[in-house]
Amino acid sequence: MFNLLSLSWRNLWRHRSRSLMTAGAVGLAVFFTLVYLSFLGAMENGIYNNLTASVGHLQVRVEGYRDKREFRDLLIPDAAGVEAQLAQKTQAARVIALEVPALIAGETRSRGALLLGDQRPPELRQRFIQQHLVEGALPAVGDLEGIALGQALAKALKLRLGDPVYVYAPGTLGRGAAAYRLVGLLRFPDPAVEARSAYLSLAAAQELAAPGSATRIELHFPFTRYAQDAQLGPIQAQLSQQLGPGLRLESWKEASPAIAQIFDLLTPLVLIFAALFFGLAGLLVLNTIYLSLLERTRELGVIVALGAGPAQVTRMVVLESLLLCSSGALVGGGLGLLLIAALSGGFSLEALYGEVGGAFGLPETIYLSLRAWDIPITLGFALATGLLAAWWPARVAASLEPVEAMRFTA
Amino acid sequence: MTVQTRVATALPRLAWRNLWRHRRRTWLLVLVVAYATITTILFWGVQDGFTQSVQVGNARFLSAPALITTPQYFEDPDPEQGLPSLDFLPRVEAQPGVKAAAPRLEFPALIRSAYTADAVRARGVDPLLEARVSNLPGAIAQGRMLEQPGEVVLGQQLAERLDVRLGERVVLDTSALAGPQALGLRVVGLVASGIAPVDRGTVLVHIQDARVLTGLQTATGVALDVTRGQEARIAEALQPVLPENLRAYDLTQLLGGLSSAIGTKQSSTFLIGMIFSLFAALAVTSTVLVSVLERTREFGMMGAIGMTPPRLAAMVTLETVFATSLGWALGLVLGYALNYWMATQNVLGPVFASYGAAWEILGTGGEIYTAQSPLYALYAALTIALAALFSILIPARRVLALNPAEAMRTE
Amino acid sequence: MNLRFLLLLCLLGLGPSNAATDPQTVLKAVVDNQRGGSLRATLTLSITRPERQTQLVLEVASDGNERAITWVKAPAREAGQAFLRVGDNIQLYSPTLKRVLRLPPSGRSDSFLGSDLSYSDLAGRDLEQDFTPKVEAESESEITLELLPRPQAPTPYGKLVLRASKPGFAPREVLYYDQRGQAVRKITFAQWVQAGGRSFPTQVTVEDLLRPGHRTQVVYSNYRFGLPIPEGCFTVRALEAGC
Repeated sequence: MFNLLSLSWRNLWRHRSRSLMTAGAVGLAVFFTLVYLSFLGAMENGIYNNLTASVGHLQVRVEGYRDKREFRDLLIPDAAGVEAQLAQKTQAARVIALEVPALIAGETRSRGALLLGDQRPPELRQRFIQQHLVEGALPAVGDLEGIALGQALAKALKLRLGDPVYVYAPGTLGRGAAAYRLVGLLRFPDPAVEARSAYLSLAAAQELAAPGSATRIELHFPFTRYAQDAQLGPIQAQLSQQLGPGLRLESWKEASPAIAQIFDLLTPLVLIFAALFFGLAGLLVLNTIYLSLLERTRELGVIVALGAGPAQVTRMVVLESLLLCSSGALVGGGLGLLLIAALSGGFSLEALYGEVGGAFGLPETIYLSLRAWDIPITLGFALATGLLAAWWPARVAASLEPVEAMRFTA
Repeated sequence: MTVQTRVATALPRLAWRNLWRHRRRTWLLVLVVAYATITTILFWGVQDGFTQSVQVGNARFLSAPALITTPQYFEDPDPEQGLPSLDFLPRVEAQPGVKAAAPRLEFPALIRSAYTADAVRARGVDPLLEARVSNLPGAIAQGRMLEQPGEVVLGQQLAERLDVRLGERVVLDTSALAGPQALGLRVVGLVASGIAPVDRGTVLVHIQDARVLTGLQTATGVALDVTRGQEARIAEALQPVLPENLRAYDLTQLLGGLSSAIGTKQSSTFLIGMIFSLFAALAVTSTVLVSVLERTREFGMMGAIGMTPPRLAAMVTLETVFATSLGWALGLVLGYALNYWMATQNVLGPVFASYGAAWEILGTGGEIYTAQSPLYALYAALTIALAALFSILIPARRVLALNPAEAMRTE
Repeated sequence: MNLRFLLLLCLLGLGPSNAATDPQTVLKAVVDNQRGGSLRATLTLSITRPERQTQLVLEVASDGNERAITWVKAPAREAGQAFLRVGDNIQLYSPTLKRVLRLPPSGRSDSFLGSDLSYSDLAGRDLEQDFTPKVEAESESEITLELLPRPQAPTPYGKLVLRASKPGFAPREVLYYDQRGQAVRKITFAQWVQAGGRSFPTQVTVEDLLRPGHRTQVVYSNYRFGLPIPEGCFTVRALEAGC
């Protein structure tokens, strides 16, 4: 093997520029694939972060809330108490939210809508503002007078910032009705949702419909990568025990299983793109190996005449190919990893997507990240390319007739 | 053939014959070029197709390619701001580029089943005309499109939420110009488009029923089917034909923020396309370079028997041009064939389901088709031409500076 | 000629009994009993749920036809609210807002003040307008009508089964079926009082058959029938000021 190895290596170096170019091609393929994979990893993380930022990683809800219709059945009593209990057991950021179906009216028009009162920590509030606020401001914490409406709802009610908004929520436990001032306009990607959305501070909503209660409590953990989601399992089990009867802790996956599937389906896409790049590189490797073979036909003929069997010749060809691919892969991979490491601190996509991207769930800051199996898979591709590209030339080499070969002129 | 012609075509013919003397080498180059062409075509086909499906989703499901309404309605979409009359319809239909004009009456309503109620936005349509401006009738998964008053078509998820089945009756309540009105309507069809807002919110009724319910005798808007890509231009051209108080809005105006998101996505796609082209070009370049460098000895021999370096360089160039053109042509045939397949069969839908779920709200749906355009051939050609050009320059200079004796001794 | 005479005889013979079991007449009589005539009364609403019980006290003035006005008197939290129904138009007054709001269809949940009554239960003659009656069973003391919705009638129900006592046709029970043959709602009447030739049920119980334990009982007290109700009672001003 030692002989074969050094022989193959020397063969490659005899045609330096050609070998360099081919190895370079493989290296480029590895480089691009790694960078592309890290982009996809970043997108995966981005979607994950956006999703969990809007609904939380875990949610406390009333048991069986999907089947309950009446407002009172959906209430978590003593929401502040439940939140305080959770605060003792976890560092996660907590959002308390109360949803109230209500009638919202302007001077002349009224519409049925879903009122949301929530209390969120500053970073989450800031994020919400970035994604959804179009004009004005969100009602401040503890604000009992301000209300924000979906743009479409405000238009339908013929309301402008500063106008009074009347809310009527019968059959609830609070005041049941109140007048507010329109302080902000919101946008949502789904126009139907926008036409039924109204926002109050938690205090205002509780005073209106259910003092002290909430319909859900969200827990937001400081995860930035989808890979960290696996930590939720044990946390969920532990915290569930803290909750009183009638309450349940649900993960974001349980709450929206359809979206959870996204993450499983991203992989095929990646593999297709990788295959495209490696296909190109593979053709190049094939080209190179074959050409070098053609050149050394006479030489190969001599080697075979001197006693090298077909197996040895095949091994030599394959080894050359593998050497080419792995050296290229090492360099390309090294450069790729360097780039990813440099950019993994996060860079902004705003230049590409603008602020509108944020509204549609695209991450504003990209954190390039490679998943555990990204590197092995890429290298695997490189090696596979090397092997496949060598297959045909190896066959040709193995079936050489020594005498014919020695007479061969290119 | 005259002597001049023979002389003039000698080089090309020689180049062509050379190609086929080194059959395998030629085929390799052809293959690489073809591959680069195919992937370029598919890349752009998929990217454009994706963008198109977002636009189609919005134009053909949620909104309309172009819509004529009063400007008041554009600000305040309520039946109160409906069209004063529909007299202008024949003039609009006669306009070049307008393939169909369908009146629509949209209004907010409450829909009730025996179990629950929900607020919706209903759309009164003329069943025959609506099929020409909208893909909703084609997306009906169960049952059929409406044919007459008394019938209603619901989004599948809405029907599930209300617990209503095909053939059952639902009640639509609304209150507009005629005060509170209600009608019982039979569910004849369920829409499943893969687009969330459509499946969750579609309520299609006959425009006659909409008129009875709202008290508006005309419509809230007229949706137009216009030549794709020409929406903005045709909407503007319509202005003079319309009465004073009406406007024609094209898709970009109707979509608002979404269209700028699409615009910026286009520019980022271009960037990625460039990178892709670069990679393809590199592949071509290296292949040509390699195959030319290989023949240094051969060139030496040719130089020795009388071929001047400029002619040699010209011959090499010609060979490359022939081979890459062949590859490009082959790539075009295969590439467009594949593209056609993916443009007519929903091959990509399941693959993009992952993106689809996340972009559901944007209106891509479960069906993604590639776009087809002769432009892709141009992109591919440019890429390859540049690559080949670059790849010839280096060896061509080499060839020009060739010393035949030295060359012949090369291995 | 013989044939015609025979026919006439048959018709005469069948005449009186036909009139007694004409479903349309029966239905009208039932609805008359249920709503007919002007009325002022105090209503006590008892809302029963699996974990709790709530009580509301309302005062109502109705012209027995298309108009009714209701003031909420107790409990204190809900008191002061008032609802005016004229035809299908509903307006409500909120003492907290000191405003009258129009209640559009999209704002009407199927529940009046959190009870099992819907807004359309409060007044209106939907049974006659929206259904075609048929006699399903009849005995000496009771008659059962099957009510099927007219085409395009704005009702989500598949059929209604109405039981009334004979004579007088005082309503006893109405069963609401969905379009799959399952009973989803039951309204039971009791404690009839005679007033102006009508048998008015002063106790109405509405049961949600889809959610066991959900029930609302309405008890009428302090009722006065046949009083002329001034027009001013059915105006927006009366919501706040009463009449």
